[in-house]
Amino acid sequence: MKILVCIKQIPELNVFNINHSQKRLNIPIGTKFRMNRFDEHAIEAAVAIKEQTTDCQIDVVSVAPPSVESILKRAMGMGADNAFIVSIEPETYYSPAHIAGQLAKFAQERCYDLIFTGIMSEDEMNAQTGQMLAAHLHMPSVTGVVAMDMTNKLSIEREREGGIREKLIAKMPILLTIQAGINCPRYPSLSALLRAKKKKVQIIEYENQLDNDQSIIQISPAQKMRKGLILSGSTSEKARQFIDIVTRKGVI
Amino acid sequence: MVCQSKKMMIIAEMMQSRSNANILELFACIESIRKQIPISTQAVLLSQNNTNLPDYLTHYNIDITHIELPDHAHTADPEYIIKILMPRVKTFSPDLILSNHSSFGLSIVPLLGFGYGASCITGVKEISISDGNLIYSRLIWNGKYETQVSAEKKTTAITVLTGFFTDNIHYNKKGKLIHLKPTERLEGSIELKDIKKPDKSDCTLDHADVIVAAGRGIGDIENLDRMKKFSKIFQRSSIGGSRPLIDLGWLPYPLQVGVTGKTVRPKIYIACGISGSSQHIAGMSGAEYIIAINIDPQAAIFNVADLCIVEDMFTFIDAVLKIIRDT
Repeated sequence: MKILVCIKQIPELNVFNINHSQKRLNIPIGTKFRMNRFDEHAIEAAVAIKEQTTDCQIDVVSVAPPSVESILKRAMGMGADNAFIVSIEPETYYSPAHIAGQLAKFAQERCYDLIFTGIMSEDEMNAQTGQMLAAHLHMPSVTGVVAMDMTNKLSIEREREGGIREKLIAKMPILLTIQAGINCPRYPSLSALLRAKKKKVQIIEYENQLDNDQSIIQISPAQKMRKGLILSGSTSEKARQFIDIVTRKGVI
Repeated sequence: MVCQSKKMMIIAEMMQSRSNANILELFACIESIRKQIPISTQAVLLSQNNTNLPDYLTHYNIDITHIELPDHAHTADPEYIIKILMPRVKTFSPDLILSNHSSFGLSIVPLLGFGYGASCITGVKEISISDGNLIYSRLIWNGKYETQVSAEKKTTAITVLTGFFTDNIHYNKKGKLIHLKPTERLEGSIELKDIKKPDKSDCTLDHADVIVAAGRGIGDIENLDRMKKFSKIFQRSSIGGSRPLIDLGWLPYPLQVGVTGKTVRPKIYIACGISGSSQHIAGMSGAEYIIAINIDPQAAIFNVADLCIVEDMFTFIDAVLKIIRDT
């Protein structure tokens, strides 16, 4: 069985300066990156299958600048066999449709039985790339997978709203977008990380005609929905004001 | 500037045994566009077998096609749904396709966008017009920042974020109504076996006047006891949590607040160490009064709060408990 996991890197930052002229958030040189949290769950799901089956190969791919290599090596430390970078320019906006197109070029000839992506990225939160990749490959897709079992058939649980879950039986090949809660991603052991470090990450470049279906025309801090009163003073002064307010609301 | 009337197409799922709040939100979104430019609207509402279209949905001056899915079909098979929808999209040739930012919308809209060659913009919280073009606002980075996005293709397909288009609209003018029961069969590769519903008996959160909700900022499961102690100073209170805590197994599922958990409307909602993702906010933004405690002054949760307390949550909680103890 061949499994592909598509992953994304996320800058380890909480606060950004906005680059208004280029309509993006500034990521200073030297910023560390980590793996998108949902993608960690996707890798764990793939590794769990590999541990239960014989003859299973896991490839990981990221459409990113070559600096994503360390994240891919971590994925190999978790249990992936091969890693690939589909190289794109840093500091350029690529819409999910463009990224999905690049991934499709990569996956097309490689005949995967299963493709996993995280349900969305933590930075741009589009939740589109996986489904679009499936559409490119004429492959069925299931979004928001929270449980999976392959003992007999591929049975899946998909999360709906309000705690409802659908139990599905699916045929392969199929693309699944993985929701947090499906598993607990492992920490790669030091020895696994050292082994992964020695492995090669292949860099692929496709003729890269930018095909964005949308443009960002402005970026700003999120608008306030309620006008929040900001308490000031020392911690105990704030605590006193807090108690006053909730007391007046009659809940203490 | 004179704009031509734009064609809007709503695609939504009617959920059995649930209110159609998702559909009304899309109607409210349409209304927010109608206030800015002339539009005509058609809604395609999908339901499982034997579900009637509630009469009140027909009074919004929107033409509705109600598609009752046959027994063998279900919305968990997006390929089937696309097969049903695509001819209708092609016939209507909309400028804008709208669906909910939900498990249904997100499984359908990117496929529809791809198949129809439309721009696909997800998680839209506001729509404005600039030079006759629709501009979409969407939240990124867990709701800390927002982008204004314009579409490059002739048609755009969007998903609309829950909790942002909430205006009540009253029309009392009937649109046209078509009822369809498709006969198309598809060798579906996805089979629906069962639907698991959450245990209805646990309504702790529904009955609480005050919800003290914990997020990732709680740090360690050991700290849950301090949170519980804090929640006990309020009458009729309950502890709740954002999704990461439930995923970690630190709190049981019935205490999860957010899109995939409970939608709550307590008198007071106290968010402790919660970043404020749009998924969480959709579940609690209806609270009467929202208090946010977070050490990060830029946390998105402060954007929905009535009272903002920038403090380490436990330093603050300890200070509150100390004052209560001493008085």
